[in-house]
Amino acid sequence: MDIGDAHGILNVAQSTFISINGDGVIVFWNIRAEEMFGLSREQAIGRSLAETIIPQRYRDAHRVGLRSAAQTGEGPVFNQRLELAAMRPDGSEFPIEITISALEQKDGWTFHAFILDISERHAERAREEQVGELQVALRGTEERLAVIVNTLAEAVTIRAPDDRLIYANRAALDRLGMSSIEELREADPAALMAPYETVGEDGREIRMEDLPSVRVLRGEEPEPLMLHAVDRRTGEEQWTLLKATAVRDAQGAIEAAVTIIEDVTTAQRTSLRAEFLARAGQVLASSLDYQQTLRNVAGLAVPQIADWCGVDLFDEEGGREPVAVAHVDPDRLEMARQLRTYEPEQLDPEQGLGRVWRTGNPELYSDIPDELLVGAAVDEVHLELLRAVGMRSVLIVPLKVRGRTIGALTLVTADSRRVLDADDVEFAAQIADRAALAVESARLYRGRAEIARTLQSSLLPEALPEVPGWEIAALYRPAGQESEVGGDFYDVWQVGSDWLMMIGDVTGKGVGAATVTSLVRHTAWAAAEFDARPAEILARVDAALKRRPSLPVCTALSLRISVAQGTLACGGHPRLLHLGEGGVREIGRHGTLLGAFPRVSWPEATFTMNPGETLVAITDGVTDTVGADNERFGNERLQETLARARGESPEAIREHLLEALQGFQVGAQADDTAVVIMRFTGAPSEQPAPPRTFVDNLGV
Amino acid sequence: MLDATPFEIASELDAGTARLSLLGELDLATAPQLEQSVGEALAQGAGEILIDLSRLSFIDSSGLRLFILLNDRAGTDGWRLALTRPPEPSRAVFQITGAEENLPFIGEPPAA
Repeated sequence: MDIGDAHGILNVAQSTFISINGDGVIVFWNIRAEEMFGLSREQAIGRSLAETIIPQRYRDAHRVGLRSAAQTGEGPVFNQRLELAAMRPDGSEFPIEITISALEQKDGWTFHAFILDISERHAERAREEQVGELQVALRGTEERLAVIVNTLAEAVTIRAPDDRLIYANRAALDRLGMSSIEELREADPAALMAPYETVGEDGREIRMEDLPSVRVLRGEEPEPLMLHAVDRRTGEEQWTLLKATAVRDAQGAIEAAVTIIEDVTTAQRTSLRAEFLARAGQVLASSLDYQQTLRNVAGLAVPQIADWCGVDLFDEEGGREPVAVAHVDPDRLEMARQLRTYEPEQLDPEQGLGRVWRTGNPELYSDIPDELLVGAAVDEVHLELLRAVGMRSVLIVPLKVRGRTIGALTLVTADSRRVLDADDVEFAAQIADRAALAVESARLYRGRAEIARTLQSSLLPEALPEVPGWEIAALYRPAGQESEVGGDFYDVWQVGSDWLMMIGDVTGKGVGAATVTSLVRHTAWAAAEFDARPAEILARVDAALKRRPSLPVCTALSLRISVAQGTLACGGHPRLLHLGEGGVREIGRHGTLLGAFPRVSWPEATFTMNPGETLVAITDGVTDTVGADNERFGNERLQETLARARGESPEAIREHLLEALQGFQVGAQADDTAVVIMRFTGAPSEQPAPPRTFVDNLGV
Repeated sequence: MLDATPFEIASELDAGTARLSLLGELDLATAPQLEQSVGEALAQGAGEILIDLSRLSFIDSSGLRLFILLNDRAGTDGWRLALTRPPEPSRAVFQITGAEENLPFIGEPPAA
């Protein structure tokens, strides 16, 4: 066949068709070839094929092949589909499929090629290859990932949108008690949580819908959850930190939730305990009421350390005093109170608390079998109560002071199902040591404070007497610690038809000062029975003090009132203040400090009161009150304060003064303060005949 | 809390006389310091203790009691105590307690 005959058809064929002669010169170039190479027929024909469409690197091979084929009409490339690269005039290449055939014509061999642009196919194939490679690569990654995830100490789970767990690494499977992922996939997700008591850090119950993974699947973005789980079967406690992340598909829809479960039991226990001890330390130091202190400690211990915490104190003979019991649930506390009624007040040295009292060693009952309850119960109701508590473990640690067991701290786990172990014993012992010290110091302090209160109250009148024609109010503010007795005192008492008022300040504080105060008051009372003149009373007190070897010194103001008449003497004491129409003035004359000096004088002063006028006697604690910049309250400020309150009742004046002092004072009160305020209301209408006593006769 | 009571003692010993100059407030808290300083001066051989009160800003009954105590000891143990007069308002304390007539103040009383 002459190819020339076919050229008309081939020109309009749907395929690119090119013919060359034996010299490699293009002799035919159809329309598709024009489109494929961007070269017109006129441009192409007569050109060397190699230089027109063959990339440089293949041209030599082409020429060698062509030379050979031009001789024989045979070659390895003919009549088969070849994939080659072709080149456009701009040098750009593209993949082609080419089928070449040789035809012998009258002037030699000619060669003809159908050419297909297979760029698309190539691209597709490249994509497929890439995907294949990627798949291979991904398969590797997945396997490696599984290996890594499996060796993680942290448990990792994947939860599907239907809440089922579809994956768990080895740690997670172990944690869940599963042998395979298949077993896990078949499990009901809610059933997986059932064997555990699960609560959050705040003690609130955690249910499945609270889990971060479940919340992630609901489209939430939950914070990591600190979960406390106690395995009901073993009593084992675990703290875990759950962090969940959403896995989304290409469209952004949540496909699964990955949870990383970190076991933080040790860290959490340590930190909870450190926190507890720190708080216990504060609580123990905050109050000297040891019963309250122990109640606070018991309250701190639940529910973090145990479900119940009780504190008992023992006496020397093995008697017990239940001090505190704590549980988060008030109904449960009622149960504890009922149980208490069954417990003997006398300890049984062979068991429980009694054993701890006797031996001074902790007692740990990790497991409380029912037989133990049956053995301990005194009757059916008691047994029922004991069973209702549902004790899991009981730990009793002694409260010891200097080797003596003064009480015990009892920790009970019940609802949490947690088993107490040796680790808990050590920790509880630390709490007990602190509590024991606090109890002891509180007891010592309470002893001192009680002595101080008793002494102080014995140094002051229990109540001011009713003095006819007068209204009286007094203020007493001891400085310093509760356990210290102040040195200030005052008293109002009757001698015959007259009334005596004495106010004073014994130098020093504490029990020493208290005995001096007592001496001064008793001396004054006794002296007044013989001679009620104020100067004489001070002289007697001065003499009594001088008989003491410890050089006790005292300031005092002695005032005698006979209806509207007053007489006073001062022994080293601030003078009396008089509040009347003319304002505030000091009355009285200075006299010698009591107990101090050989040369003494107590000049008396007398005055008459008008109804509505008021007398104010103070100790120097008032004027010495320290304010800002170490400034003292002073006499001037005192008089101003009193002037403003002039005309008011003694109680009102006292309140004004107290307010002024508290407003002025900076820091702790430095000195005791005593004030006696007396208002003359007028002579009583019916004056009882004054009994003329022997005492009075001597005095006047 | 109140700052520590401002109180200082400057002491110098010269030819058997110890001069202790008090600066600040003599009260329950600071009186023991003065008592100790006097004891030290005596231990160093002082036969006379002169306590300068010209810069004593405050004195309470504990401070006063110490002067009474020192005066008694001086009489018993055979050394001399002398005090210079304090300014107001400390001086009022010595006046109203009778301490001014009973303690060994030296120099003329300042014009009242």
